[in-house]
Amino acid sequence: MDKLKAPVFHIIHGSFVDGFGIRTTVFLKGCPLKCIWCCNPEGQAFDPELKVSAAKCDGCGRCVPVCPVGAITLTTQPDTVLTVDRSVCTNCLACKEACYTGALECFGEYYTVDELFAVLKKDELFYRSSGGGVTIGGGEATWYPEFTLALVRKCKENYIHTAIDTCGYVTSPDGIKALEEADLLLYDVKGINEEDHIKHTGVSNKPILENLKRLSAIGKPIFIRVPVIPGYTDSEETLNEIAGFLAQLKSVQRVDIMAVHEYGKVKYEQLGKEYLLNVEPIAPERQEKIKELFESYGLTTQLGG
Amino acid sequence: MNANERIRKLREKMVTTPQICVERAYLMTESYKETEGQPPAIRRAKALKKILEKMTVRIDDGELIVGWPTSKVRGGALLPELQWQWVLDEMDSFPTREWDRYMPLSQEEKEKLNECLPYWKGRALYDQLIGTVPEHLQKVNHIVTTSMGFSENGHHFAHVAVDYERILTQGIDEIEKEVDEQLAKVNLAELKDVDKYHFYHGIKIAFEAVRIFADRYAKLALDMAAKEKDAARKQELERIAEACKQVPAKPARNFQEALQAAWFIFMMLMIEGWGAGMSLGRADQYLNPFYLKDVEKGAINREKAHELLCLLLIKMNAVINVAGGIVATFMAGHPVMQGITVGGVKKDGKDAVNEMSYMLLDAEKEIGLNAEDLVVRVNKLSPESFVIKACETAKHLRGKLKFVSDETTIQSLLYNGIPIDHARDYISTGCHNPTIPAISHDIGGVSFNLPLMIDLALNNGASRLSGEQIGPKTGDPRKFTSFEEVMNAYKKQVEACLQVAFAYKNVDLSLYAQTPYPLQSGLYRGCIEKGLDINCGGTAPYATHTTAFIGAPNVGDSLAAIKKAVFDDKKITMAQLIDALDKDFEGAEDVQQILKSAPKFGNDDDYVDLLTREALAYACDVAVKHRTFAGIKSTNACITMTGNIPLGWSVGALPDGRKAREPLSEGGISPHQGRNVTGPTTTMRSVAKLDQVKLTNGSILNMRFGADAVKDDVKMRKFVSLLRTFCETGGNLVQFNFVSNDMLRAAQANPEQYKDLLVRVATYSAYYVELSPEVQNDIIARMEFEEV
Repeated sequence: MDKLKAPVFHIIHGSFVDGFGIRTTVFLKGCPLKCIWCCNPEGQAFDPELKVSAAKCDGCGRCVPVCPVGAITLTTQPDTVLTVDRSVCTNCLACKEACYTGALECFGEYYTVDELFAVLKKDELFYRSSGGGVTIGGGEATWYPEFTLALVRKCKENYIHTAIDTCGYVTSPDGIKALEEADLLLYDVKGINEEDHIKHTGVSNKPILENLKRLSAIGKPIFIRVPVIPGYTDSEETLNEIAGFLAQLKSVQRVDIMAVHEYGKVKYEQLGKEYLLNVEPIAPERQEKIKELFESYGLTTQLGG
Repeated sequence: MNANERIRKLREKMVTTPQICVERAYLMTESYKETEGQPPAIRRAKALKKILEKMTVRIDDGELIVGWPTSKVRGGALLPELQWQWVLDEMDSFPTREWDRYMPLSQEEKEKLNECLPYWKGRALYDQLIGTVPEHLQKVNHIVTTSMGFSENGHHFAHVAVDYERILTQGIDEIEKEVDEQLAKVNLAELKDVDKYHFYHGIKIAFEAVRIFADRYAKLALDMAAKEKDAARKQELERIAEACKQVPAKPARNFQEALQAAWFIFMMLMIEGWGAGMSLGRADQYLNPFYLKDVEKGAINREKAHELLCLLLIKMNAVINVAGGIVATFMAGHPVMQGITVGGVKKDGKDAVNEMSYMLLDAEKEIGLNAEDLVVRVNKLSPESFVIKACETAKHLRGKLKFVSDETTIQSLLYNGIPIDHARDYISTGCHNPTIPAISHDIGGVSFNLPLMIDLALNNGASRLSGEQIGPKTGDPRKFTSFEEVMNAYKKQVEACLQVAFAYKNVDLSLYAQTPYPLQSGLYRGCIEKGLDINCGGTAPYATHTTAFIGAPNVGDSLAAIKKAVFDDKKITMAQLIDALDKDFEGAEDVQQILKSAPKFGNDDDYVDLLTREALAYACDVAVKHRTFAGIKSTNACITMTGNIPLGWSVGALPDGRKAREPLSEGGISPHQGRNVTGPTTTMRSVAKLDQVKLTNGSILNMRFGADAVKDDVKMRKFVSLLRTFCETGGNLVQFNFVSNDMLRAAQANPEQYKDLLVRVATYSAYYVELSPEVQNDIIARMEFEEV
């Protein structure tokens, strides 16, 4: 088991969202989906990536010569402008070692299961008092199937509650097992129409919905997350389809309406990626309406996670 | 006037710029001129009497609890017996200076001060202090410690824990009988009994002064009632007159009289020994019986009692401390820290939460001004509904309430030798000094600049900024070949500098014994039994003296960075480190970055947390071995007020990556501003991991949440669980701000719109817009936990 490693791009200690009680949430890198509205774009690629915060650069120039592929350009007149050509950058991260300002950093650091568990276990006192636990998210954690399964089992051996935050696009046997063995699933449903789903996320929703039905059938406690993105997933039709589908599932305990936000925008810049989403926030009244829509299907619903 | 309007009007009046009242200074001076040659206890008592006989009395429209400690609204008195020169030097700058402004003094007031203050030349304690403390010790004041002398602060630092329960249930006439009994035992043939004789007489004069003052208010209320046309108000005034005739001389007969008695005593103690950190004690415990009795009789309902409690809390804002320019930087934002302790356990260990605990929280939720300071004692027995109400109150007020762990505090008091039933009965006085009512009080002591010890250890005992030799020569740091040498050098600096601090402080305290507190002493059991003033050890051995360590997280972070970068990873050498510190990292940004990336306190990382623990525990162990004045116990705390800013001015670049002159870590034991990046639980675990039991006089953790982080009931339950876990697993004291950076920046831009925005600065709340920009920015720099 020691050989199993996965890259982690973030750990939040003491989160009040993402499951029951106080939680520590760990985010693994790599996801099979490429949702247009993704708010954790650093979770998409499976390997550690260069994070560029150009505003922190003081123009010292140490990074330029260490880049083996000449991807870094630095101008200092009239202003300091640091750019990394992502089409040639190999994410070797040599430049990060040379940087002292924090302009060049890295998304993702490898952990073994035991190393990660040691970090998560630190908050055990808070789990115990609040009925909380560990939430494993990403990215899509189950795409490190053996790792995530081992982590879930390690937590359970130690009587720590586990939740997996999943997109549901899980195809490996161990990935499925991880979902089955976790105590709680936070499960995204981004649409029932397959064509739209492919357009918005890059993959078919068939395995997602099949997995969901199966997990519901075995009685796994599930919180559904529905991202509401204007122009993508917010039509009455789409929302009614989703709600209608969910209403048939026995073990859906709650539906969380996740209204669009732009917290992830800065990370697109740091990754040299284009931010394609261009939508207005959803008015609180409209959010309430959407909540009522889901409730009309007999679903316990809340705004936010 | 209906209750809402009454409360709103009186509350609004308190949100105003503080004013200085010259009456106390003037009357004190007159009295001292008349009593030259008499014993100090008598002179102080007569001065108090003169002040209480002559100072302005007034009852404002709508008031039900009466008594103004000054002639102003939010007023501060001057204490020329401590220090006077600075008032004359600085009085023109009061309305305009950067830190803690006051309204301008009138020409007449300035003339009065010019007339009376010079009398104190050579007589004021500060003048004597300067003449007594050896010069080389004076030189390090404001570098090694914040202003160490009470006399230097220009106001008292008495963290009072008088016996309110007894005052309310028996009255001071009854207490005076005990004084008379003691007086009868005095044998004047014994020389030492002569002091006792004067001490007891001092108390009797002070009690007489109290009765005169209450009587003046009774007469005033009657006069006003006679002229009052509004029948309802007339009746209120008559009731006030009745109350003032009864208390505090005789036992309170109902809830209103109980509040009136407590307020009278509180404000008269203030007039006697004006200073921050006076407490109303365990008000929920001593008020509840009066409330229940009135309810049983049908004499009061919950709404009326709520109104009276609100009026008491508003009243507490009638007091501010007047501070000189330097002192104001150490305690910015007009702090008075007037504690009211609620919750906790009773002497027998059972849950102490009662109806009044909830009602005080309700009143505070409605009033929420800066002076009254509710301290919530939390333990495993505390009802969830009580802790939730307290947390909701804190959230509603954005920056108020202290939450104290009963488990840690009681254990800590036991460690300090307090018997268990007394330990369970503690109140929080001052910043946060667990103090036992009726038998003990606390003396704010030395605030010690711990990061300076790193500065000195890495510069052979000299200040890196000034070059002055402050500590012993502990060797050329460039030649240190092991981490142990660094640690040893730090420890030697701590030993030597603490010695300096205690030397200074003990001289100050011994001089202080010349300004006895006859009134306060008369309200403690120990003082009457021993025949000894509180300033001469009357409450020993339970009384405590605090050494408050500032910046322990900077020390831990610095030691961890040296250990990691120099000795474990060998990324830099000691010489490179020292060069970088000498240059304040200019041109050595790479070294600074390596140091910054080392583990930091506040993230539950043993690498740094255990070094912080070792460094702090060592300093604590050294400090408790020191003897203080008159048998008062030396104890420790991690409390900074705003001293982290001015003390930071004297500290050069540190190995934790902090640049020279920048603020040190805030609060007391809060992780350095912005370094606790991993979350609230890890912040709390790092803090609870320290040897909190050795911090008998408290340690302060500030945490800031965005306004929306706890937006609904489910999140509130999680928040409460977070708090309880901290309190129940080794934490000490935590307090919260629920305010986002956006709001703080908006308040900086439009101060008029945010006049009553309260923030938790240190162990007190202040109006954000009354703080200097430097303190405002230090609060913005603190980690904000968003909704995550």
